[in-house]
Amino acid sequence: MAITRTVAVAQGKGGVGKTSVTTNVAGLAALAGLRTLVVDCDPQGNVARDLGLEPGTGSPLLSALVSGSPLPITRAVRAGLDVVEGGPEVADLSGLMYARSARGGGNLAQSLHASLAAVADDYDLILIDTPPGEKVLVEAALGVAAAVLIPTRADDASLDGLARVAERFVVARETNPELRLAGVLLFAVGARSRRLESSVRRSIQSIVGNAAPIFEARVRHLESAAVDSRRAGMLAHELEGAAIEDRRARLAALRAGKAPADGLLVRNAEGLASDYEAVTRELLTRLAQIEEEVGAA
Amino acid sequence: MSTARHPNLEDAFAPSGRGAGLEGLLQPRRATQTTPTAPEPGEVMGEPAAADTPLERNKRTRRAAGNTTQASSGQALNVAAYLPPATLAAAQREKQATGEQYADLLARAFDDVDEQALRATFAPQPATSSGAGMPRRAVRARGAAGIQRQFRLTAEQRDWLDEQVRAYDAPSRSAFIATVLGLHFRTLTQQ
Repeated sequence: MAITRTVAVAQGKGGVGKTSVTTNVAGLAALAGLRTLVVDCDPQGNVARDLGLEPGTGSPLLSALVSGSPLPITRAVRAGLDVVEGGPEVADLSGLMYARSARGGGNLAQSLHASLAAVADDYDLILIDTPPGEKVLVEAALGVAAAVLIPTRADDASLDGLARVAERFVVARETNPELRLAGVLLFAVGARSRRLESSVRRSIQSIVGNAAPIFEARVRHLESAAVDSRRAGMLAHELEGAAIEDRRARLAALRAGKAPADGLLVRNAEGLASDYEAVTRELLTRLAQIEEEVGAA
Repeated sequence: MSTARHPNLEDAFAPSGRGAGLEGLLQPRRATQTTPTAPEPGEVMGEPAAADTPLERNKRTRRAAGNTTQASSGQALNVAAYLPPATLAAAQREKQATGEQYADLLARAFDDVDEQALRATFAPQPATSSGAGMPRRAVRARGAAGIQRQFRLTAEQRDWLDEQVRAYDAPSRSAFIATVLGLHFRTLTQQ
C-alpha cells in the first residue's frame, strides 16, 4: 500500500525538528530539480510558516480527506515545490474518520492513500509532516509512506519518542508491508558536542539495532536561525544568503554612521544550511536504496 | 570612508550552489514529457488522428516497441502502479503461469480490454438527486488503494501510456493501469 517516494517524518515527541527537517529537505530536493510535495498532517500547521505562507486552518485538507475531493495543493511555493497545508482542523480527522471506520467505511489511511495516489505521478518526492501525538494521523501517514525518517534530540524524552514511533510502525506494517525505516536523524545537537553525539548515537543504536542507519549527517542547534526561519518564512539555505545581505547592510549602516536596522538574528547560517544539505543527500541516497530493495523483493 | 583598498569578498560570501550536489541522487519518477510526438513507425504521415481510437494506436505502439523486455527506444524504467489486492493476485498468478513481466501483462491487457468499458469506468457518474431533491455532484472513479508494483516500460511506452491517461481522463497513470488490469482480469467488482 506504500506510495513510492513518500517519506513520513515522524517522532512521538514534539519539538524534535520534524517540521524543520521536512521543509528544509523539501526545499533542497526541489532546488536539486526533484518535483516535491509537502503534506502537512500536523494540526500545528507550521509547514506554512516555515515556507513563508499564512498559516491556514486545515479545513481544506480535512474536507478533501473526508469527502474524497482532490487535495488542496498550493502550487509553486518555491520552484518545484508544492504544499498541502495543515492546520488546527486537521485534528478533527481522527474523530471523523474513526466514526466512519466504525460504521464499516474506509479509514484515514485509505483516504490519504487515494488522495495521494491521484497526484503521486506528478512528484518525484513526497514528504509528510506528522504531529507528535494524534495516533490516527501518524498511523495514516505511516500507512501510505514508503519510508519513515525519525528526527530525535539527544534527551531521554526524545529517545522515548522513538519507541512510540516504533509502536506505530509495527501497526502500519500490517497494512503497508513495504514501509521501511529510512533512518534516525540527530537534531539540534551542538556542532562541538562530540562526546554527547557519540553517546546519543550509541543509545539510538541500542534501540534500533540494525533496522536502519543512524544518519551520519546531523542538524546543529542554532536557535537564532530557528527563530529567523519561522519569523521570516525562509529555509536554512535561504537564510544563508539573507544573513550575508543582512550583514552587508549592517556594515554599510555602521560605516554611514547610522544605526543598523533590526535585521536577522542569525549572523551565519552556512553551517546549518550545509547540515540540511547533508541530510537531504543521505535521505535521497537511502530512498534510492529502499526502492531497489522493494523492487527486488 | 573608501573601501577601495579592501578586496572584494562578494564571491567568498556568496551562497554556495545549494542543491547542485544533490542532483541525480534520486532519479525523477518519470521522464520529462516530450510534447511533439514523432510519427510512430508504421504510421502514415498525415493520417487523420481522429480516425484512431486510443487502443488502436496502442496496437501500433506495441508493434513499434516490440517486446517490453527488449526495449527498442532506450532503457526501460520503472513505472509504479498501485494494484488492488484482487487485481494484484490475478496479475501474480498470470505472471507465474506465463513467465511474463508485468509490463508484458499490461500490454496484453490493453489488447484485450473493452474500450467502452474502460471509458465508462472513468466517465463521471451522472448526477443524482437526494431524497429531498437536491442534485448531487457528478463523481468519477479516483482509483483505489492498492499495493505498489513496478512496470518496466520504455520511454515510448510511458509516453503512450500518458497519452491514454489524458485521452480517458483518468485521474492518474497508476489508476489507469490498475483499471486496465482490473478489466482484463475481471477483478474490478471485487475491489
